[in-house]
Amino acid sequence: MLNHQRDLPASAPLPATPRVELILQQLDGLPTLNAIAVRVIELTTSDTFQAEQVIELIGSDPALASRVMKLCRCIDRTRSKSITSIERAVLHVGFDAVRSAVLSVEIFDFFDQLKTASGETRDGTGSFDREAFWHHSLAVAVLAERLVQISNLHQSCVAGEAYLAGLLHDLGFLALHVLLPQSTDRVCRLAEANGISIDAACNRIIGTTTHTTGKRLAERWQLPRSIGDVIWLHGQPFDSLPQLPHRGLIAIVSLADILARGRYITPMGHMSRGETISDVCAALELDPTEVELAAATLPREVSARASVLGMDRRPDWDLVLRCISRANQSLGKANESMRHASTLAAQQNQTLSAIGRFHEAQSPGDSVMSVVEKVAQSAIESFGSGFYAMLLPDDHPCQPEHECRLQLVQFTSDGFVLRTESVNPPIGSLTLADLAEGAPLSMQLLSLLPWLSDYLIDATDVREVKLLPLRCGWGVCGVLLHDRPLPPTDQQQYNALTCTWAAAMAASSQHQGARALGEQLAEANRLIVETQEELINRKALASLGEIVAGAAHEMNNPLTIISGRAQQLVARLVDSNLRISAELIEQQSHRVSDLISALREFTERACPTRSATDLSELVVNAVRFLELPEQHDLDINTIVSDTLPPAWIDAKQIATALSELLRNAVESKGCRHIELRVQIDAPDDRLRIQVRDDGVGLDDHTLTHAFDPFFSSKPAGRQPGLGLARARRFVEAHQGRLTLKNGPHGGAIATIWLDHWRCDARQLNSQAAA
Amino acid sequence: MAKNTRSSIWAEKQVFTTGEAAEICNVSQQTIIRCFDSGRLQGFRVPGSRFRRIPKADLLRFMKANDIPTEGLESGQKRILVVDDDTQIVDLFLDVLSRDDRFEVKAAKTGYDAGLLTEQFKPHLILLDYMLPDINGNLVCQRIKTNPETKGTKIIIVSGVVSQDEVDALGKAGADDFVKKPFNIEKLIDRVAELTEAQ
Repeated sequence: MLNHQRDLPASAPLPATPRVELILQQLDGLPTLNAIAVRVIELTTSDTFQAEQVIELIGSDPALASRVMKLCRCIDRTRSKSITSIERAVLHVGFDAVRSAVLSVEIFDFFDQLKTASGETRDGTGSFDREAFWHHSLAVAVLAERLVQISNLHQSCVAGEAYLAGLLHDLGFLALHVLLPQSTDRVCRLAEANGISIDAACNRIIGTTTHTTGKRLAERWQLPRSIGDVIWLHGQPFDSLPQLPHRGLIAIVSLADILARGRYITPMGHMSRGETISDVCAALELDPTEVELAAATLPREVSARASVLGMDRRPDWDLVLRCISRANQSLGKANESMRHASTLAAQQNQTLSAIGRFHEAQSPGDSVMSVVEKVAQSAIESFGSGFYAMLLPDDHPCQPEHECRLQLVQFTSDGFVLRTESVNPPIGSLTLADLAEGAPLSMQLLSLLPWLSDYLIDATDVREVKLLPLRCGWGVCGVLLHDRPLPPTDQQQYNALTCTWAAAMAASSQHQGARALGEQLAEANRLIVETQEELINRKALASLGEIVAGAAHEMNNPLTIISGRAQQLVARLVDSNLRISAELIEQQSHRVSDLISALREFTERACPTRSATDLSELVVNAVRFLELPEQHDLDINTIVSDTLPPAWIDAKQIATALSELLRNAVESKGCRHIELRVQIDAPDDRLRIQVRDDGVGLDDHTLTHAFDPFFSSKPAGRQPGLGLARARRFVEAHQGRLTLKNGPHGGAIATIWLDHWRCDARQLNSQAAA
Repeated sequence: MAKNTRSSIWAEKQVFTTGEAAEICNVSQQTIIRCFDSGRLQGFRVPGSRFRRIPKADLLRFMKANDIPTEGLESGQKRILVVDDDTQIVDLFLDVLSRDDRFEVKAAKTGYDAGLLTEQFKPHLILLDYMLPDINGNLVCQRIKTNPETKGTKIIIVSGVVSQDEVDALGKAGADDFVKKPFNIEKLIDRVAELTEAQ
């Protein structure tokens, strides 16, 4: 007898393969078929069987003989009255049809007895409905029988065989139900609830399909090969069926199955597999209209066959009502499903709207903090107002690699940044990526993030705070902390929203990084250009330096001779005119020599030797040693703050540069007043040494070429023209700038700008020690 | 006057007999011979005879070692060595310095010649061109100042192309002064006199 205690517990699933094998092995534990059915199968599979033996065997059981004859009459209604014995049935409907009728009756009885033995009763709770199952099987059987008769398969496939194949096509499910009644009930409920096929539900819960189980049972019972293949392959698309002799029969049963389901003659949970009638009809070369006609009287036929098989006799309209009832149930479920889909669509619409508004609020080039603010505003819009904060990775470029600093941003009720704090989690703390989605900030979590409570202590009840990680393809871009209960929305919608936020934050971060890189690149390019220019200047100066050094040696020796001999002449000549000429020779030779020396000095690198320098003293000395014209009415106004700290400069170089600026101012035409001002520019702490005169100013040509060596706007008798060029070299050696421009009210303004001029304590100490 | 004449004669001579050395040192000839024979006074014997001869440098060394005044041997003029590869420059220096009685001047055109003359001439001061064809001035400076016999010699570097860094390096190498070409003759002579007077 069947042992129901062997049903598999749902809570302890076995590994898939052993579990399935265990189930399939249980099939062997099922009782065998009735002795007559077994004998009929044995005889018909024997090479030497004789029809008389089978007829005699069926005739030995009058009840069986009577039911078989009734079934045979149903097969061929035109001759139903002439079928009065098994022999005549064989004569009229064929031996195979009679054999199928016998097996139908015997197998139905077999399972009916198992039902009776197990005390099973039909339940109406939505799980397995045996009566509905048999009605469906009968409907498929009757339809298959009819379809064979109207198809061109009736030559190779007898109607009785089609009937048996239709009746047993879901044998596997019946067998599974006998073996695992609770599991198959769950299968039915799962299929019903989720709108999936019984096969899919079976596979998910039990781990095997009704096809496999049915095939194993058919093999065990040695059912005809065609029946076994129908059980195994029915429901598959016609094109994918193997080239079997009974391929057509399999397709007929599949079509009958679809037709029966279409008329709601189906047990609960037996959903349509999605095949279309027209496809199968086309494959079998059947006229769809004829097929529909064949199915028109289905409920009456099913009732008649059910009566023959011994199922409770009910009027055929009862089956029709039950079909209508099932159709109504399906409609109700469809309505429920649509209502659910409508609710989901409304929620999705809200989410999409929130995403749309969030995207609308974005602007090109938004900073990360601006995007974070918009995320907070979007969250408030979606979840309602409350406490909101955000944990972000702190990507400050100065951050050491081993530190994982975070930024904690808290928001106002409007979603604007309230305050931002840089957080340094202790080593071993959870990272952003470790934080579980939606987890409340429980005491346990707080123990893992003890530092976080320190920051949130004033904000809200930390027990209410939940974490919502914002993930996207880049990883976790941040964690939103909030105290709002999330509305009952589909998880995927949250994901869509949070992924959108995270992607925007990541994109902004990338954009910000790219912008910073672009700026760095531009700065680097600028430096390269400046360095290249500097290099070219240096190379030019170096070449010039070599030339000047060689020239100095080659020219100073003759100049020495000229100068020396001229001095001797001066000493010896009595004629004053001649002596004056000799003196002139000597002076000019010295002038040429000075020019060579100045040029050589100009081409040498001006490395400053810095020391702490009193700027007031430097300025005073520059003015004191300024060579002024013998008769002048110049007024030099010096403005130097008393509180100027000592400057870390090469006093000699800067004093030389300043002297050159002063000399240019003094020599400028029409100059009466010179203002020398030394001050610190507050915004960038630059030292500014400015010489302003009230002369005629500088023309464009002079402004353009003022720093060129040997350039001078002055007439004959001028200086070598290296003063400003040399001054600029000294200032640039201090990494400063020397600018020259005309004043707004006339005159010229020359300014020395020094960025790095302050002494630090170490420099002062080292100088003091020296 | 006669002494001055004798001194000028002794100043010209490079090798002395024992009698001349005794007169210069104002000691007996026997004393000189004893010192010669004991090795305290360096010299040589004339080949093929037993006559003793004393080179001027050895005699001066002996006199200084025994605190004997050297005025008798020297003329009173300061010996100046001019080192420059430019003939015209050398001629200018010779012309200028030879006119001054205070100086006895010799010239060399290379570092090699300068080394030889320093050994022979024992100059009080060298006017040294920085850029010589065979050796740089700072190296000449260094060698003269590290030699115990010549370390007292004053050196004035004369050049038209030396930078301030090189002037500082020359100072460290032992140069006493630096004069840039072209120069003022009077100032140069004053400086030469100043440095040689200090010796």
